[in-house]
Amino acid sequence: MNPAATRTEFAAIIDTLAAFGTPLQVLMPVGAAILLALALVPAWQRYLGPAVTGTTILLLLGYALLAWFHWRVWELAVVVSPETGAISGRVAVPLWIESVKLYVWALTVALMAVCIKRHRAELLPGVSVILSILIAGAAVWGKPFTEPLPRFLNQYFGYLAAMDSGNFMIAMNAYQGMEGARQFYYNTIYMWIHPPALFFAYGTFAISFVATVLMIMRRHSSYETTAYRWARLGYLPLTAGMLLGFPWAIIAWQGESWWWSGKVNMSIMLWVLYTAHLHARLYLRRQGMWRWVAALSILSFLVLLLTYLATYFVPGAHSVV
Amino acid sequence: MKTPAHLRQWDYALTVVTVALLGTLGLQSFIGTAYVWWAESVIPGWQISGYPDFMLVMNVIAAPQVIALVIVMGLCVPKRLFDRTALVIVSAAMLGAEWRRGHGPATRRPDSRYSWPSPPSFRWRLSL
Repeated sequence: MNPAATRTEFAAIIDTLAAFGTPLQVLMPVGAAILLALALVPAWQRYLGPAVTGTTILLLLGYALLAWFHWRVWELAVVVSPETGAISGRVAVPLWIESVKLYVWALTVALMAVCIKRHRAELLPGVSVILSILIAGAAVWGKPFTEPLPRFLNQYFGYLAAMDSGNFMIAMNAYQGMEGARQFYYNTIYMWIHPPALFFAYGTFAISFVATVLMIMRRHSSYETTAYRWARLGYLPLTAGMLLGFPWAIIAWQGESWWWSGKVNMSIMLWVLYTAHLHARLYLRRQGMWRWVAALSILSFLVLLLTYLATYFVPGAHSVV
Repeated sequence: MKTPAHLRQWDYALTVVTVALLGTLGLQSFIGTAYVWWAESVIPGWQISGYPDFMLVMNVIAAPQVIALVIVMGLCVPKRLFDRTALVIVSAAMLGAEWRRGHGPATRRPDSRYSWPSPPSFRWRLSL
């Protein structure tokens, strides 16, 4: 292993990502503003369909660029034991963490918006508002093209520096940290199923939320059916994703207090509220019940947003505070 | 066949209780999050000193709710999926199997492998 050469190669791929991605990152807030304008001005709403499709294609192109970057990271990020000099493995950084999180959520909602069939014309304005917020957030806070994977690169560059230091103890310490993260965080099978399942659920719940708002505004039960269908589609991946998080936490956070931590609490709350929403719907036709169902649906989506944000505000395991 | 009114009422009551239990669990989770947030920022070293007690209290509060939820959903969900005859047959078979296990040769052994382990000692520690 040659840490200096690896650093140089990393610098080259980061520069390439920035060179191709910066125009896209600048274009993203502009596109978000256009989407927002089209969604809010009734006379322009007929252009929303093509605009959403165009935005989705743009996001897919950006994601292809990010996939290339992650592939190159996998080729370069080799972890070598300072004790034996043997390669432990490569770090497979998933395409839905750190700077890419909001981008993935935006892309998921965009793809789903393209697929909407039932109540498409009515749903698109609301979905576009959410999409524009996510795209703007991904560009402004996420910065996936100009500041990619800050935590991973920080740790990996620290590991390279330790390997270059000539001090065995420092190198060993950094290696253990990096190898632990490789085995139990980046490369574990849970990481490749748990977050995508949740992002899929988040996308469907966003559309379900818009349909519920339409139901409240227009007092028509057909919107509730649409809201229910989208919520039902997301409920299974949400449940599966959360259940998969459980064995992962037991393996990865041995000796660390994680049960009832802030994020876990919020996730449980999210799940029980969506369960309550889908359960209460059984008696939708009972007098006044639709109000409860609508309230639970709105509350569930608000809790979803809080659950997402909890990672950044509430300390504990699962947190980046 | 139309469901009699008193069964519909019972079904509705089960649904309301299920939703209420899910709601209280959600509320508990929210309060737990708020408490973790507050404790982490105000109490120095809370992760080490206070977290175990916090987990215990949360478990103690959640356990009866989860048990009640399992019971209520056990009454509520299967009858939506299977017909009454199938449920009666399965219930009778389960009771029969349990009766047979209780009166079978296994329990007559002096060193029965089927005896319950003694429960762990349990302390109520509600001080946060």
